Formats: sequence, C-alpha cells, structure tokens
Amino acid sequence: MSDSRRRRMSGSERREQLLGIGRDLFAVRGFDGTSVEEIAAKAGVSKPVVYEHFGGKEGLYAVVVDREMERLAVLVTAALTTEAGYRRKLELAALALLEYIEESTAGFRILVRDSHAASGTGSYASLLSEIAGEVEYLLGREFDHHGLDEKSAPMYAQMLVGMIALTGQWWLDSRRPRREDVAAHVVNLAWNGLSHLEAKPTLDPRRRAKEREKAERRQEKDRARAEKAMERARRKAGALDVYVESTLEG
Amino acid sequence: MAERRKRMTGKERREQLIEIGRALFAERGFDGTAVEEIAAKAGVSKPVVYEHFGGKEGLYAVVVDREMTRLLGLVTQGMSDGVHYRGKLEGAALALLEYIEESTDGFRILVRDSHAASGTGTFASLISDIATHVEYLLADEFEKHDRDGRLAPMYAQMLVGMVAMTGQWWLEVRKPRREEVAAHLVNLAWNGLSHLEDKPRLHPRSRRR
Repeated sequence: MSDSRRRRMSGSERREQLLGIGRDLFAVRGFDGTSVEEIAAKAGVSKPVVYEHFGGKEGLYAVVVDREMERLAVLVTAALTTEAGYRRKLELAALALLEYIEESTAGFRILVRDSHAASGTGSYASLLSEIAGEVEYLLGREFDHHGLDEKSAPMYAQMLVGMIALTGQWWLDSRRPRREDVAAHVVNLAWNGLSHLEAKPTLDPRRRAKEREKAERRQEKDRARAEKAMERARRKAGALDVYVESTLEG
Repeated sequence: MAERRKRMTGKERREQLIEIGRALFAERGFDGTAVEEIAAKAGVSKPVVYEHFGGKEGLYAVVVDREMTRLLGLVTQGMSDGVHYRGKLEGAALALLEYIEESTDGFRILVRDSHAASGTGTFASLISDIATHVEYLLADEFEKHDRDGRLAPMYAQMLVGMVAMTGQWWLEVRKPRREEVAAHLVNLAWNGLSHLEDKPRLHPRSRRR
C-alpha cells in the first residue's frame, strides 16, 4: 500500500529493520510471546521475508541476542581497558553497564530474560562470567602490587561483577537515582566497604564538566555544613573531642 | 524385590518421589526428565506419580517450593543469628554456601529454573526476597549512622548480588572452603578494596556453625 511511496529497502536495511522490530517485541513479550507474523506485519512485509533473512524466529532472536551481547561487552571492555587507575576502571565499567541499560533498555531486557544475573546460565550469565574474567586479570595485578594473595582475585572478581550486575537489574525498573549516582554508590561499597562508606559518593567527573560543577557545589555545601557542625560540636563539647581522640589512639 | 520391602505409606512414597525427582531435575533439567524415569527409579508405575503430584509439573513445583523454603529459611536464620550487622552478613553468606554445599541438587534446580522462559524465575524472586531482608537491616543501620536510609535498597542489591554471584561460581569450583569464601565476601563488603585484609577470618561465633 504505502510501499509505492517508500523507496524499496536494500537487503541490509531490511535486516536492520527486522532486527529492530524483533528486539522491541522480544523485549516486551519474550521469545515465546512473539510471532513471525507480528514481526512481518510491523515491518510491512510477508512472513517469507523474515524467513529469508533469518531462517525463522530462532534465527532472528539469536542475532538480536548476539548483537546486544556484543554491544554490552564492547562497552564494558572499553571501560576496563581505559588507561586509568583500577578504581577509575571500576567506575567506568559500572557506568558503562548502566549506560547500556538506559540507552538499550530493550536489549538489556532480552539479555536478562534470557538469564538472570545471579543464575549463571544463559547469555547474560555467560557475558557476566566473561567480564568477570577481565576483572580478575585486573585484580590479579593489583593484588600482586599490594601484597595480597593473587589467587583470591577470581573470587573478588565474581563479587564485584555480581554487585554491579544485580544492582543494574534492579535499576532497570527503578531508574532512580541517576546512573552516575548509582555507579558512584557501587564504587563506594566496592572501594570503601560498609565500614568506611562515604555519605555522598561522587564519580571522578572528568567526563562531564557539568556534573563536576554540580558535585562540587554539593560537596562545598556539605563541607561547610560539616565544618560548621564540627565547629559547633567543638564549641559545645570540647571534652568529647579529647575523648574521641583518645579512643582512636587506644 | 518389591515383596522384600515393606510397603511404603503415602507420605513415604511422596518423599521418595520428591527425592528422585530432585536428583533427576538437577541433572537433566525439567525438559530432560520424564515421568517414566521417575516412576522406574521409584519402582512404581507412572499412575502413582500422577496420583501424588498430578504430573511432572506438579512434582517439579513441589521440589522447587521445598528448596526455596529451605534456602530462604537458612539465610534468614543465618542473618538473625548474627549480632552486629557485620555478623549478620557473615551468617547470611555462610548459610548460602552451606546450602550450596549440602543441597547441591536443589541449588542447581533453583538456578536453572530462573531462566526457564515460561516460569516466574524462582531464583530471581528468591534473590529479591532476600534483598528485602537485607534492605531492612541496612536501613536501620544507615539511619543509626546518619546515612540516607533511602539508599538501603540499592546497597542491599549490591550485597546480595555479590554473594549470589560468588555462590554460583563456587558451586562449580568448590575451592576454597566455604568458611574462607564467606570471610572473603565479608572482607570486601566490610573493608572495601582499599582496606582489604590479607587473610580475612570469620568471627569466631560464625566459625562455630
């Protein structure tokens, strides 16, 4: 009908179109809930066109999953191999995952539905274990530098990846706070541990000048408030200070 | 040979079928397991399985339900055994690893079940249950330390994700011992990468378990 008004698509354009439509449908309804009819109808083609390009629903699905995995893997690997300290690498990797979730939500839903982060089987799980392998390598060197047992690196890699992966899944639905804050909190726990958590963690904000200004203003305010509070506390109870110091030393 | 055995009561038969089902489901998955096989292993006819569970789906649902209950019970128990919240974290991590070690079949089923396309995702829902427990714990603790209690859900996900993924990995490698794994988990959760202890140990109270 409207085909006469549209320029005829090339084979690769058609493929891309079908992949896009398939991705959105799979994300909403899952593999079982999606039919070739529906994909074809949305693309304005007949079913055989879908078969011709992908051999069937399985083939289309496999390509969608493969591309999404590839995309996410590239993003995270790029973050982990950035020239930077390893805390910064962790930040960037966490950010990369969240960025992917935010910008390729449909793709992430498919990957996750294909397997849960914590479950260890399926495409997302296999991707996570690949990422854990990269983190392991990073940690191994770092542990070595710091006189920690290198052999425990694989275990810690699992922990770190599990930490961000499950949080990402949770964030997929909650979407709050903003991704930069989520990444900052993840790194806060990973880096400082529960015993030394920062109250308002922020990422090293080289990438976003705007973010930096905002964060600085916020920090400034906090610092002033903290100083004021300390000042007040000092004035109120000079003795307490002495007490705290003596317990810290003791 | 059936003559030499005492005839089972209905309850005993159910238990037997559940046990056989669990082992088969763990090894071959839901799709790879047939009612015939379960019946044959139990030395009964197929209708006996149908009579007790209505079919393979029913038996599977019961196996999953029992394992979920068991794991959730262990983890919440482990959590409430701990005194301080670091102790609770240890207790929970240790409980999960204990379950993995002692109910390996059950854990395999739970984990495999979560990506069965049709199902609701047992392991996923279990994980989110546990995260809710952790969330309460953290919210209290955060508020006590003047931190934003609203952040508790996010940190709960991190902690649970960290333990769950490590448990999953450990299911296959089984090294080091579970007490050591738990100690390392708490090491990261508590001290962070910047203050990791070289040879972390569990609290003596947890070690006694």
